[in-house]
Amino acid sequence: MGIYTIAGFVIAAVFLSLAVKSYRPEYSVFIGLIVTVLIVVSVLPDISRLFNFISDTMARSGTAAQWMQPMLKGLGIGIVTEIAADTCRDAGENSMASRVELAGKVAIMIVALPLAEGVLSLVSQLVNG
Amino acid sequence: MDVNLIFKIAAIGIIVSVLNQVLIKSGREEQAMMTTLVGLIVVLLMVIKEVKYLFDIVKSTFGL
Repeated sequence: MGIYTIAGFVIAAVFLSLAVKSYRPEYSVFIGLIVTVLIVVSVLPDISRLFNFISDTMARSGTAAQWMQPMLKGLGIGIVTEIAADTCRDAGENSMASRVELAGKVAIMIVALPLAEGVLSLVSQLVNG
Repeated sequence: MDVNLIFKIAAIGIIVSVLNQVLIKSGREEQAMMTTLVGLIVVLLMVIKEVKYLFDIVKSTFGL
């Protein structure tokens, strides 16, 4: 889906959502969620193309590919967390949104742990060596 | 998994709302509540299928 399709489709979905909001507000949240799913699914191949380019550049410059992994995983966790939190906020549940964001922050920190260990071992090598 | 899903969900929402009003006005309130719940569950199943598809793609793209 090109950008024009996505933009037009979102504008149509906004009006559909407004039409049902005053009668059945839960269907507005459903429509919002489906719009999110459709757009993210259509944008993901381009994101992965960008990431392939970045990792090829990093491989050519000699950086180990393992340092790229936590960044990639962190981005994926961020996207999923944002989808869940925004759906909660659309439905008016601000506290649930904050809880899921907390879970996402913890998950990203766990995924970034190998990077922190690498930095610490590098620093201790520099200090001792 | 296409654009028509949104129109289907909006249509189900409008149908459920109309049925709800008709049933309430004719005095059958339990049936009105049941149609509301059934509509909600049907749409929830449709949406969860799409969300699972999205999460599978995200998992495979980002290597999670």
